[in-house]
Amino acid sequence: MNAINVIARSTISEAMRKKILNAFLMVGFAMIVLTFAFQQFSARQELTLVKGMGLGIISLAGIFITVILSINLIPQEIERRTIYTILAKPVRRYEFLLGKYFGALGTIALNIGLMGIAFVIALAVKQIGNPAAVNPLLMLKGVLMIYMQLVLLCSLAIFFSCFLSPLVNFFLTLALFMIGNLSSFTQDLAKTGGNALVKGFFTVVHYLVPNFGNFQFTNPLLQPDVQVKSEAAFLTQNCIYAVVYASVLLILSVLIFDRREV
Amino acid sequence: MWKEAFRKNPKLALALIPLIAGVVLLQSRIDPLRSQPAIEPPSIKNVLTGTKGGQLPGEFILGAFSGFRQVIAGLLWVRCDSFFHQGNYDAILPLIRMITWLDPNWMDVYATGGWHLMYNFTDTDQRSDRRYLVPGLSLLNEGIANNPKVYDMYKEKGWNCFDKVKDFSEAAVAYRGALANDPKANTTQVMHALAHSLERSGDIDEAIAVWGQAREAHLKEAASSKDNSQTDSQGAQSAGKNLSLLKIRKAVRPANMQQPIDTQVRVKVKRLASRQIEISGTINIFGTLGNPYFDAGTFDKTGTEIATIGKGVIADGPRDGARMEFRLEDEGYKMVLPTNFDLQVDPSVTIMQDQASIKGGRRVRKGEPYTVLQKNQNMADQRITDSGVYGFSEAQAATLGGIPAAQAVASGAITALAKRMLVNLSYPRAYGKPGVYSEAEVNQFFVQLRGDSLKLGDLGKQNIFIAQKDLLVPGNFTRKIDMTQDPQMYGFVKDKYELVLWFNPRTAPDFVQDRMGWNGEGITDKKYLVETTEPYPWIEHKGAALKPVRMIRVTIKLTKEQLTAPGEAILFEG
Repeated sequence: MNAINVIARSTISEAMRKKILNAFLMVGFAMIVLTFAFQQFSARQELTLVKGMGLGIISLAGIFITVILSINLIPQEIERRTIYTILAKPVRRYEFLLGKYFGALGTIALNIGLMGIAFVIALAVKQIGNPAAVNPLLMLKGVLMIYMQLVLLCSLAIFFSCFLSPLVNFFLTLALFMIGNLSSFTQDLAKTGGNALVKGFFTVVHYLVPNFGNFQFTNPLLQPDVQVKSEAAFLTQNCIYAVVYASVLLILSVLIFDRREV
Repeated sequence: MWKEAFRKNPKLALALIPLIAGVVLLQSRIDPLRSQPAIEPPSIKNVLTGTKGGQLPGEFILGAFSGFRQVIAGLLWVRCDSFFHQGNYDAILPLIRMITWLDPNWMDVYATGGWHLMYNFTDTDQRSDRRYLVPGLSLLNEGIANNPKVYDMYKEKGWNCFDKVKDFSEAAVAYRGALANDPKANTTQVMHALAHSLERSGDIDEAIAVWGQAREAHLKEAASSKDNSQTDSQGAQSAGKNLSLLKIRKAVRPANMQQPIDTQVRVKVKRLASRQIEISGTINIFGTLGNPYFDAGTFDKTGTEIATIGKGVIADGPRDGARMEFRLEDEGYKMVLPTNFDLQVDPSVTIMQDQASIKGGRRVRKGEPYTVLQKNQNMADQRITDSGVYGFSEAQAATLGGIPAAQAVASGAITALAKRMLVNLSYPRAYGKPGVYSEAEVNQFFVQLRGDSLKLGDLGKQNIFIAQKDLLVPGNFTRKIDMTQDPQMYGFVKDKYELVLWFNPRTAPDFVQDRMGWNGEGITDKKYLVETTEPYPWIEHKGAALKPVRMIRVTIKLTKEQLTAPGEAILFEG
């Protein structure tokens, strides 16, 4: 566990050296600009736009930070040959891999957290005197869902990085991210597909491709009047889903990385 | 590689089986929660197919399906706003379609879209294109279907039915839907509007009941809320006042309408040129002569107890303020709402709807006061009008053989109503003071007037005379309709048309209803009085039968040739 911890911390500090925090600064700036961007609308509409755009910017920035960070974690170590130095020490391969993964998660959490805080503060300031004001801390539910989505995305990118080049990994991860966002379509096709073969295929796709669309919780935050059934269960199950699915991908990664020639 | 990996570490590989089973199980539990409209609405799939009125621009599709549908919806809404300010109304519609697919819970978009469709598409004379009422209402219905537990969409539909479509019973259904589905429904916005809708539907007892419930709801909210207590107190006061007035009117109107007013409607439709017509005519619209002539009695302002109900209308007469409405449409047209919202309007349909003020009605009877208008005067001074005294032109006055009011007061050759009118003119009741002068007060002031040379002098300065003959000038209306500038709106594709003119007492001002009734009980006309449960035949009602109303309706059959031929012609007179 100590080895995992050390590798994770060094991964975070290395990511910071890459000035990945610049992304946060840019997004934070975007948030402040955003709060003044829609003043031509009514108070309620303005808030809807600010909230929607804010969560969208955090999500978009988070996806790019996650993918770019994760696809390079292992190949870069191999390319620079630093992996030999690490594995020559009493560090197991799975420890190295998990260390890298948790380091990436820490970096993402730092970025998403800072962006989330900037967003909540910007929203709170924006809402001063606004009759349609809502508790800005509620937005953290959306930020949590974005983070859990990125936890899953990161594990997918790390999994592919065990046997694919970064370029292929980049496109494949993003492609699967989009397919995973279309999971309501695959669910429909699994129910209404033409024949048993088609239905069976889409059932497998629906249940086995990571369902990134599960984590879309922006709507209830934007439209506080709509009522969500079993909100707590939905959020909890999604968090568990992300952790369980990420565990599957990490186990597969460990199995492959263990046999990979470096 | 895979085979070897699994073989080398079989325990770890086996651990995958329960985890994958867990993933499948979790997904099967998440699916039903996720598919609820508040989280992921089914309509988002429409943006891919684009078969129902719009297709998402290519640059947005990727974003919408990568989990950024709210962001895309927001961007499209910003674009809508800029189109609106440019006046590019047609461009807004497909965007509204897209946004409501992307975010069907964004109720502001439905509300704005519905309003935009129903109000903003107009001809060059600002007459609404009534064909857009169909997509407008369909859009609001879709908003309700996607947000069934939120009162906002019901409220929007209710208001549009009330104000634009004039389908008061459907408005009441919508407002009731708001109350039934959302316990947080705003009392003022929903219950007050429901009561008004019920009154306009002719369901007075229900309207009274709803005003009572609204008052109770306000009082309850005022007691439990710190922030809105003032709003709710005012709401309770307003509901109580309306409740009282409605109870009083319900009690007094039957007696006030004993002798129906003969409207004596006359209509003339003239073609001025191809696709240009002039609609004109006369009609007697009577109402309470003014505030000093409506005796409500003494009543409790809370509406809970009515101490003494007055006589209601003390004096009546022709009043300005009502409207003659008219509609030219394809013969047999029905406003049928499609099952699904569709932006397209039928280009082969022609509908023109407009209205004209009924004004200029005047009456004086022997022994009653009137004033003579100066050459440049259209109407008498406000104070004279408020006291119920009509003004006549010099030519009209010449037929009345009037004697100066001061002279008539001295001789006493005036009617009891004339006494009251002169008292109201010379000693107007303090502004805002409720009630009317009692008989005793009128007599007392009249005696005072007789000895008040200053006031008598004022009557002379104001050209007040006492008529020696009766004279009734009916109200008139006139409107020119030019349909040449908007060929898309007025296509005149069909061969046969109907021009319908109507006066519906349910949409008339209160002071007219006081004399002519909620349901037209105080109206008669030899030619054009109809008693109907369908005041607007083009609206299809699927629910319970509506309360019958007696209204004036003139239906004129016209052909395309009559409307589009060049040159002047009288199309109808009668």
